[in-house]
Amino acid sequence: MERSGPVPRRPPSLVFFGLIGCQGTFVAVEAPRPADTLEVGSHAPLHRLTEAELNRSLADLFSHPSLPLVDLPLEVEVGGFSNQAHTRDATPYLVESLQVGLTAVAAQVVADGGAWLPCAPDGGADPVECGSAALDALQPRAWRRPVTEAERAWLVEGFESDVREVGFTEALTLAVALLLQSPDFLYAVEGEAPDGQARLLTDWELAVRLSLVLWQSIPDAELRQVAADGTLHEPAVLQAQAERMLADPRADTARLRFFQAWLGRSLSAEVAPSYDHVAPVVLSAEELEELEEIRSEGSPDALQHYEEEWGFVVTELQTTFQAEFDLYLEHVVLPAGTLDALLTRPETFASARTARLYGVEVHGSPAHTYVPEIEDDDVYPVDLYAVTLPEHQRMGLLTHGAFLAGLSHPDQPSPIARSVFLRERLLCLVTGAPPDDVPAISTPAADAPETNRARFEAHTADPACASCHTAIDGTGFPFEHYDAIGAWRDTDAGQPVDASGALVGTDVDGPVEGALDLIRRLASSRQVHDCAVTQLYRYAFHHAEDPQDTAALRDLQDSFWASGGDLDRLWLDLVTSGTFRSLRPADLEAP
Amino acid sequence: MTSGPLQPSRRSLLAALGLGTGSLFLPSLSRGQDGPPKRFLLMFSSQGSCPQTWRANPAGHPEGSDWWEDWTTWAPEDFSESLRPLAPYAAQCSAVSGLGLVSCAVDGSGFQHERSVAHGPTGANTVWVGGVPYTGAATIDQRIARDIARTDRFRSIECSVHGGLQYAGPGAAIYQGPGQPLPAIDDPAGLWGRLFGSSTGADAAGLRRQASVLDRAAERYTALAQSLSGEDRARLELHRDLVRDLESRLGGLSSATCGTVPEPPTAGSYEADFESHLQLIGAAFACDLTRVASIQLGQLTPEQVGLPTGDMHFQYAHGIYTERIAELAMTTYAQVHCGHLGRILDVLGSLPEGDGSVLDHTVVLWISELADSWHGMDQFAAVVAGGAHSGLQLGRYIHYAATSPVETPKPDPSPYMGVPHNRLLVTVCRAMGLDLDQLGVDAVRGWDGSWVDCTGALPELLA
Repeated sequence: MERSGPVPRRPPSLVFFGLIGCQGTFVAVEAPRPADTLEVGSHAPLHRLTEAELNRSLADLFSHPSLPLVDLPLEVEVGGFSNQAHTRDATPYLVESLQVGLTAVAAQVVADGGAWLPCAPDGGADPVECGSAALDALQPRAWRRPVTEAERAWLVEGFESDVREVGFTEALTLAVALLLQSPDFLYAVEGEAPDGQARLLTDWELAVRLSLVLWQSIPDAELRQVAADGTLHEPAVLQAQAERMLADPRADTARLRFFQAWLGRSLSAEVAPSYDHVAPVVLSAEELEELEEIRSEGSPDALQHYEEEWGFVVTELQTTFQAEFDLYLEHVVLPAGTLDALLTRPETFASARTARLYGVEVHGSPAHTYVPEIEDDDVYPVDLYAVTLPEHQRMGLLTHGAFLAGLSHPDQPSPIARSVFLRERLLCLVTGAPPDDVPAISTPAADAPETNRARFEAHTADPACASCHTAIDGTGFPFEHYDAIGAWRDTDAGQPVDASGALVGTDVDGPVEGALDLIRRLASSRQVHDCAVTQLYRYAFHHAEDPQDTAALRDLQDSFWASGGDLDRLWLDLVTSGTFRSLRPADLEAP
Repeated sequence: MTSGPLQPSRRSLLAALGLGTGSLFLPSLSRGQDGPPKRFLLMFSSQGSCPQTWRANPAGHPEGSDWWEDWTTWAPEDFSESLRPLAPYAAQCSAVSGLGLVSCAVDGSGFQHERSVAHGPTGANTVWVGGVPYTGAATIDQRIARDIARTDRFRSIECSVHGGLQYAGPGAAIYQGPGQPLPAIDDPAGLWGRLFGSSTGADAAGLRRQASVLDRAAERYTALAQSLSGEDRARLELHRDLVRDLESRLGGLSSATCGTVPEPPTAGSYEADFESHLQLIGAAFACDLTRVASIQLGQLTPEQVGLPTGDMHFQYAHGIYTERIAELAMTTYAQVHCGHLGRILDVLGSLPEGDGSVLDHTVVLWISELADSWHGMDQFAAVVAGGAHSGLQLGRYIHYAATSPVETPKPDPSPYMGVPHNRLLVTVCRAMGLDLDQLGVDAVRGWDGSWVDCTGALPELLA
């Protein structure tokens, strides 16, 4: 996509900046090209590879099917994304985890050998020659750019000296561990232009951004070749590479991770329904009878048994909702390829248990068996079946369990939590924080039943609350037909469910009746389409947009809307945009 | 493995670390020539207190006066309902009432959980990112670690029970500095893995080679940082410094003798996880693997305070001033956490060191996010605890009158807030031997135009 004038098409002049001494400084392999004719976004902060990017890169670097995974400490999210620079400074535990994890990887790949090692794992006839050759090939791939002689010496000379002292295997393990712990591997470093001006990325830098955003990995041989040829910045070449990479399965995985973060796949883990409320829905008649029997026995042992059994059910629900999220994205949304599909498709995947919840039948053989990625032998695989959701009750992601049950209290849905999530993530609206003296929501009393809606309406009757809650509740109440586990209900506390609401503060304002009406409205909203682009922009550049990004973002949003919400087009537009192909130094003010 | 794991041979001496106390035999090999090191443990809980059942005033001191009493002389019924379980521990702790989260009250609005998670352990203004407040300074444990941590051991350890304060803040409660969260380890097996889990036969030469790898990596960080500027450069330099610290830790940890510490079960019940974390912290203190730790206590469930399944925060916490059931719930909530504090004192007190125990040289600070669980910022509840050499006046109930002319939503009509809680933080730092007079903001502007001084210690609490 080209919206702001032609890209300067100067051939890259392969000028090496001077590099002196064994450590040297970062070398821009090509002379910088000015970016004065492009929309250049704000400075994208230095990015450290995420755990997913790190492990994917290692797998591709060594073409090893079963490397030990590097396990990094939890990352702190900003707006759902755990890859945002603001909260990702290194910590002591991170550095330890990298040292332990990457040393284990180094030990494994040296022990196993493979295509990356041009000799037997014992070093063969000429261990020094073999190790040096392996490192020479590995270093530019791991660092995602050509290396200078001094950088090569920094790595290889250490190995050559170690090998005499400790032998081939240990010396090579130490060298690989060093290579992987270097900042050139762990960070996507983009050199600054000597004059401090915005500039186009070098072809190598562009290859790194492409491979991280589209594959969460390192460039492959073809991308490296194009970068080495110095043609990647040419629009036709870039477009062809992007299309090629998007067709690779790695792109589906990478895109799935964006959707998982943006749309709250992790909400599944919050699903913690109360037994009394949801057991009759999610258990079969036999299971219910059995568990009731255990519970009614009342002894401490029996109660413990009951809690364990119910715990299994809850864990299974959580993992089923996670699996459904992924399968829906992979098999329904990405093939359909539009934002509309995300919100409106009736096809999804259910286990025998969640089928009861959705009110559908499962038959035949399962479409997928989901094995949770949990190091715990007690977690069983879950079979999921392809199902079509009841036409007048459900469509798309916002009627799935992860969203509905993940944003509920144990015994009642939370219209507030559902609405705030939806407004922030899909409409990019900033919800005002609650006032400083929120009254408690009344506990449902057995003798005076009151609908969930009525309790919340009482809560927000106060004029001070109403200023925000008119908007919040209007987007939350349409989901009142779905209870705390996301099952359909026609009545609440003995009264018919009132699922009327209203959209306020959006481009599709007006009264809505029920979730499906609301969802159709959202699917047709320009604001929702624009918000999807904003979210991807934050994810891809690792920080929230600022005023310098407005023009670049607007270009992408215009194109996405004009394409009818075409997701492939969105990714293509992103990686071929001026802002993706250029960088602005940290301290450069907007013009 | 030829190289790698961080913790060589520290598994020979420690007696079995079971769930009971008293089973620990920890030789005091960590003691330097100046006696045992001082340690700091932050116990950080959620939801705030129920002030009307937390405050005590058995002698009927007049409203509006500052006072303290030796609460070791109190009868059990003199203790407030919320703090009654601390009666057996009165000599080992002091309660401080009449503080206010004054700095927090004037730092933006809304987001009370997030703001108070940030202000409670820092007293410093937040950094707003994407419309949400994040902690704006090093938390007190990290500020203390800066002065007392050994560079060749773990600077600090962070753990949490059932998610800790993740739910209440944007994902983390402990910060090295602004924008630098330190995520907590929730799974006791994970904490064990970090502290005691790796075993290796790495000899001195092996350690030297691992250190050499880190040394050369650090050089590369230095070189690359020079090509960047601003925050990007600072990021690489911080990472470089941490690589250097790890290099120093490789040797330092190999010289620690902690004996065999059995691996606790992976995450389980709230109480089991708390106990496992505590045992690991005790073991790490005893062999000087670290001198600073924090344990975040996740939100209790209604079941844990004897109520039916539900949502503590949503159904009970906000209602303490209007509903008896909510007041009872949050009172029991405090009592459960008093039990946790008591357990900390029991365990650290059972670890022999010199003529006494590890507790003697330890300061424990218990604070919560929020002040009251109605989302208020006044009546910030705090308990300090420790042993004979804590540097604190223990065995006291100390009350301060509300004198800060700062507006904040409150259930009572007084336009004054309590004493800035920054002064409690300063006091604890001073007890830990830090030479400082201010933590977080130095003053906030009152509604009468005066400046409310947030500096200085609380003399009644300082030994």
